[in-house]
Amino acid sequence: MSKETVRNFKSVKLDIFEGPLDLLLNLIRDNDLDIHELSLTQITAQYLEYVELLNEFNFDDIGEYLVIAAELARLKSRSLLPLEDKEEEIEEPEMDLVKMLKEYKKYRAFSENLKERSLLNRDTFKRPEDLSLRSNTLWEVQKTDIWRLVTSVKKVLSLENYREPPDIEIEEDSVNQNERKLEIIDDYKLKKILKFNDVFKMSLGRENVIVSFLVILDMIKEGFVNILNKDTQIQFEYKDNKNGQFKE
Amino acid sequence: MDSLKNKIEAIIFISENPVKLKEIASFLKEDLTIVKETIKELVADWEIRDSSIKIQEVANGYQFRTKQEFKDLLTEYINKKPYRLSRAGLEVLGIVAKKQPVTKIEIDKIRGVDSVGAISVLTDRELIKVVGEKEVPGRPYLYSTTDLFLEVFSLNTIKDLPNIEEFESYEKEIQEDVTTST
Repeated sequence: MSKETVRNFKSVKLDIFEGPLDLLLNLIRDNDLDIHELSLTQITAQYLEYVELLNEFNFDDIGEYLVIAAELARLKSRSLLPLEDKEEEIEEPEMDLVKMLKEYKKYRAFSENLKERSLLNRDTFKRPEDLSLRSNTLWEVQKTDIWRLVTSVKKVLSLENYREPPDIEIEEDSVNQNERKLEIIDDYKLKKILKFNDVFKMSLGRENVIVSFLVILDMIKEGFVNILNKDTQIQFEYKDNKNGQFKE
Repeated sequence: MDSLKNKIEAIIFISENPVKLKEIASFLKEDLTIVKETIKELVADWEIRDSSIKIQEVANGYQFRTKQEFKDLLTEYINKKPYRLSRAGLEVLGIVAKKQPVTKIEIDKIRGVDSVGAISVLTDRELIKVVGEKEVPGRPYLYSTTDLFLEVFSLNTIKDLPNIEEFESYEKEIQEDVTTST
């Protein structure tokens, strides 16, 4: 394998290895040793062989391995010194490799234990989320009695003041359906329930009543409005509907 | 039919995430202790029933799940490539679970190796999340485990994890990767 090829592998690289502490723990285990300084000096040579191999693979990121290698070398050299000299060395700042290994080993074991737990989607399953009945897939059956609404609107239209306007009337504001819709939405922003008379304002003219009716029908269809039969009066309840939005 | 027990059962059944006791109680406008007792009965009912599902107390809530015996059957039925959680990922997850909130540097220090890859995978998988910044120079991110972590690892609270000191003298062969399709 050329160096270039190896370099391309770098991105998948050292993540696969668990790092220098993992390597050390494995060497200690393979050599049937306990974690203490003496065993570290015993495995130093083996450790260096691995690091050399990693280096040969041309991994750039072996810095962490080299730091530990240096520390192992230091321990080794210290173990070769006579006892008196060792005590003088105490002041020197050093990494406590034994302590680090013990700490790491606990977490390594703990993560192994974590793996043994009952894992969702490995050992146990729940209903998958895309089959959930919540939100968009929620069905609703319309309970609204549209005929009752039509009857009420018809009654309003048949009232004296909603007869066809006389010919002499010159100007007539046409009522735009979208504008009326916005007005109704605005009203809903103020109160959650609108009375029949709030929506079908007699004073605004016949055309307004018809347009309001169409708007309300549309909103019922979209699921934003519910008809409440309160006493003898119809009321309209605004609902927060997650299925869609007002087409404003 | 519409006993409190059945109402609670229905709510747990349709819920996508574990439903919390408080949620059920406040929705049903019932006393918390009564609901708690009733759920206990419900959980016990399902435990003794001859059924493939049970109610699991998880992530501080309740969830219907299949029993462990059906693992192989369902794995075959679902027939999807499982998502793999690497050993590095599992180690980082374990450290975050125990030390949270914890910075990347603190994680790296325990593992003796850079954990950037594992952290980003776990964050993407929503098993850990950034919960803030540590008040030290550089203001590094602080990571904690999520509710999804509890759900995936069948934990009710983070306190259900064993004490880390129990693993002092634990010696076990390190094996292959752990697989889950979360």
